[in-house]
Amino acid sequence: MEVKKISGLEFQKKRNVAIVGAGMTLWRRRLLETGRELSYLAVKQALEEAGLTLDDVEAVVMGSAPDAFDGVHIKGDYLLDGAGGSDRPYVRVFVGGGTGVFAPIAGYWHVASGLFDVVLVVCEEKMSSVHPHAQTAFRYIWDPILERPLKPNLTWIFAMEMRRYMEVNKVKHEDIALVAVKNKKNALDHPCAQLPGKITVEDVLKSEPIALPVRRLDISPPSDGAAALVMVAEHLARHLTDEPVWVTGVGWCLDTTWWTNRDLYFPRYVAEAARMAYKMAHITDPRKQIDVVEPYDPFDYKELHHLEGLGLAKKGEAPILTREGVTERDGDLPVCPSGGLLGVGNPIAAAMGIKACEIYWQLAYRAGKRQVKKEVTTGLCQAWGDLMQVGTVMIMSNKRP
Amino acid sequence: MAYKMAGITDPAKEVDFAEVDDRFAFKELQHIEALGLVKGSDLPALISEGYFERDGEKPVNVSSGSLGCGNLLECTGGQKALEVVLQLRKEAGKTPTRQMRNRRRAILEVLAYE
Repeated sequence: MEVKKISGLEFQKKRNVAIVGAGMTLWRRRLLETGRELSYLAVKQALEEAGLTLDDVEAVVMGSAPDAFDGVHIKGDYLLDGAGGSDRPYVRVFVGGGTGVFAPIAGYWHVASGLFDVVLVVCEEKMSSVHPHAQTAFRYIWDPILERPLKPNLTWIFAMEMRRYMEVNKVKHEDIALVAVKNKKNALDHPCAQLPGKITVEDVLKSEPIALPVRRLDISPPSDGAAALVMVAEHLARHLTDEPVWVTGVGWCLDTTWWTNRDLYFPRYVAEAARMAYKMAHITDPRKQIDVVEPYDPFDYKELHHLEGLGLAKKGEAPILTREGVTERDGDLPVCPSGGLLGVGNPIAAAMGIKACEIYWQLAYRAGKRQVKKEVTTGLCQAWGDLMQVGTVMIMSNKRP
Repeated sequence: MAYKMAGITDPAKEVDFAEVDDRFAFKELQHIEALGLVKGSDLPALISEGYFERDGEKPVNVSSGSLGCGNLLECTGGQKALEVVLQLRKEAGKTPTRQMRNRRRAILEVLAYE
């Protein structure tokens, strides 16, 4: 069941929005800092890079996923002071794993609407507080009558999604494992990375089975961490920096949580979110017009799944791109140059640091050792999550709008 | 922030009626004060004079608010918005009427209790 058209969508953007600074903390399985302290550290870096102080910030958007992770309910409010939210309009947004790109989208609304000139977007996650494991926080996302009695967990259903993807597209685990190898290798150049390393396909296939076909080296770890970025209106961007990175397209889409009713081999909700963003950014040929992409990769097969959902590879062809080296940092379409969630870590909402912030740093040519080889003008970041049914997409460009 | 955006400089004069959060009775008085709806007066005295009644100078919570309708939790804001819109459109009902005459500007405000 393909949705062919998004009708009635007319963008009446009031003004252009640029990202002028970003920051992120180290990502580790267990950090001693509190959620507020982590937020503060990320915000401090972002403001420094932007050349602004907290007094310049007019509103704050906080992105943080389930309250159960930090162990404090209404955690958006709990984190407020660490995130600079005192005495200014503050809002918390949450769409599960999609929050990492949804928070900057919400930040975009604040500025594009004309309500605020300078907005701080902060994402924080502390998954180490959950005992025994972050997975237990997900016990209650299932339908209480039809699903919960089966005691499902996330690795279980993602293993099903992976199996379905492999089955429909006739993809071998070896090809999927190449993504884990690539991303962990890329992560060696990321200063915040939790699990960088040189591994081989064999290492992946021999690693501990979690929920077959998913094995330990196919998954990203739970992490503590925070990230922040600063969005400003057009007239300020050019005063603050020579390299503003413009937000040219945003899109988001949530599908039903009846995951049992749809074919899992293709993420339709990612395709819809991408369609919305492409239309806004006037992109008609994504494969040619997007230079660098950070899709959400909590599992290695997800990078492939999402590349196809984003229309950057035909269905079933993403593994071929990986095998041929197209998605390497020096390839024609670098994918996850940061090292992705697989290499750097997965603090759910704070994944903004290697999705939106990474694309910003790449387009501003500030990614240091991670900078991709080719010249970059347009980049795309994407996140996914909830009950594997939300897609969020943001497209950025360093060309003058 | 909202007054600035609406171009209101003197709420006591420019706001005709209000729907404020009243999940606890004392909160209504606190909010009236915080929103600047009356100029530094003796609120309890004004209440007993009927200042905030439906046919008073500045009707507050004509809909009966949370105390009357019930605590709608997150929907409280929606209920208040609906009431304000109906009143401004003069659609808030016939006799005995909730509808007030000559009311042109309203404010609604909700607080989050957790």
